[in-house]
Amino acid sequence: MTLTKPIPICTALLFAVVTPSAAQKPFTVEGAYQVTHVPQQTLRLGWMAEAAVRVTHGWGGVGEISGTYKTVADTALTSNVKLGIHVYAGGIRWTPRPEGSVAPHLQLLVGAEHASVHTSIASHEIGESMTHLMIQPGVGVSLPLRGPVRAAAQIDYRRVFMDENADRNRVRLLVGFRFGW
Amino acid sequence: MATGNRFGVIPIFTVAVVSFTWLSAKPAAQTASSAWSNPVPLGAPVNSPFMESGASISADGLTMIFGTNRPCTDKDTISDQDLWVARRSSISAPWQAQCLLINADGFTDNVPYLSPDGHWLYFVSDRPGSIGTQTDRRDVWVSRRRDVQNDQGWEEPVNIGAPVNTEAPEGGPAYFVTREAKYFRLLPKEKLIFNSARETGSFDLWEVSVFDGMAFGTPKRLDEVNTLEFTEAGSTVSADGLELFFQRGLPGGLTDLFTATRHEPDERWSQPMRLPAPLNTPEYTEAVPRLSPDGSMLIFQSNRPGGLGNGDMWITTRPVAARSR
Repeated sequence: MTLTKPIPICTALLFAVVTPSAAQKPFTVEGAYQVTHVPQQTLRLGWMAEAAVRVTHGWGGVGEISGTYKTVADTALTSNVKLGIHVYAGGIRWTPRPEGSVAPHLQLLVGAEHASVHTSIASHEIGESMTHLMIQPGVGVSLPLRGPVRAAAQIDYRRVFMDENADRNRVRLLVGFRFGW
Repeated sequence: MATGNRFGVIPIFTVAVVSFTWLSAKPAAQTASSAWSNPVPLGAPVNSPFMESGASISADGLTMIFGTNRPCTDKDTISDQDLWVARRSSISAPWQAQCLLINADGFTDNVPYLSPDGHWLYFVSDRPGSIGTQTDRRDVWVSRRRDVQNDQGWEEPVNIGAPVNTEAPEGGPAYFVTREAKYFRLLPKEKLIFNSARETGSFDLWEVSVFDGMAFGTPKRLDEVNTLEFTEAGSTVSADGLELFFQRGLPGGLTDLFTATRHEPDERWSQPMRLPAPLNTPEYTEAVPRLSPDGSMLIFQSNRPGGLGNGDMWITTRPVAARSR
């Protein structure tokens, strides 16, 4: 997997402005930039939005939607091919030290992945898409910035339940900001 | 005088023997391991005392389109190659064959390739509208039918044109659809492998993109399977685009069947391997292979003994799980 430059740069910036602060809030929302790697392809343009609620001291629920995109110039087709993956998922998150300034977490999401491909051949628009169940375990960490704002980074493995001969594995990396109440 | 004749005959005889040996020689290559069964002739009415070649079978195994130079009817006095269709009501039922109505009288129509969905028929013809020299005007043509059960429902054939057809002879179309991992295996990319003599003067294999029955883009010469010494032609590709069979031989000489594979449809083909005996024979021609859409049957032309004469269709089978990749 090839990492893009924005990720280490953003991560460095976030660590630079970290200040000791309060514990993670019971209710948080997060917006993030994400990179997704699928077999033979890395989609470097992506976003993720999530909402999480802490139910007990360490356990909570989390839901996310995300999109990731890429445009590929295909010489054989003499046209561009637009790829997109959208995910709608929810699950559980375990934060062992929610009161700490640096709060790592583990999470497990279950949901649906919708992948689509669009291109134009000889003035004909061609589009195909598919939606499959998926499971996505991940590990991440958040750091306090200022007030209710925290920086977050996370890496996930996604397994998509599709045909036997298809490529089912993805890896997703994200960095973003988390706001808590 | 008698002595001079004797000395003149020896070098001529030697040259003749060497030339015959050279032309009869089959290309040396590594031999592929094989799970294919012993080939058997298809028998009548697909085979006949005339020449048959290029039998392309439908996905359900009940329809086969092939080329032959037998007369279409009793009144057909023009000796040319035509497309025929054979149909059977079940896998165990006998074939019934008839001449296709899209043939052009007095011109060559052969080497058919039926698309796996049964809607497109690619074939070779030198009928009017073909591009090329007067001595060899063979081009790739295509016809479509809307009802795959209608054996005579083929529309007026169309010359597939540039970039496939050129002034040089073209032939051996093989149509397939790939779905590449980098496009989540969602995007169906239609491809055509064909043979053309455009660059080297003898047939090589080329690949081009196809959409709605017409080719576009720049054809790619398959350098990894082509040779300068031999002709490569008459290809067939598995439905997923990962397994290739073709014929290779010296121009005008005997040919053998070869195979190559790849792991992804956008990768290069592996080094071609000769199919082992008894698929190939040292002293007879094996040519124009056609793989069934499920990959379990390979039908090819051979003039080996056991047929009805002049080149017949032979069939070999394998378990689908035994594919060579």
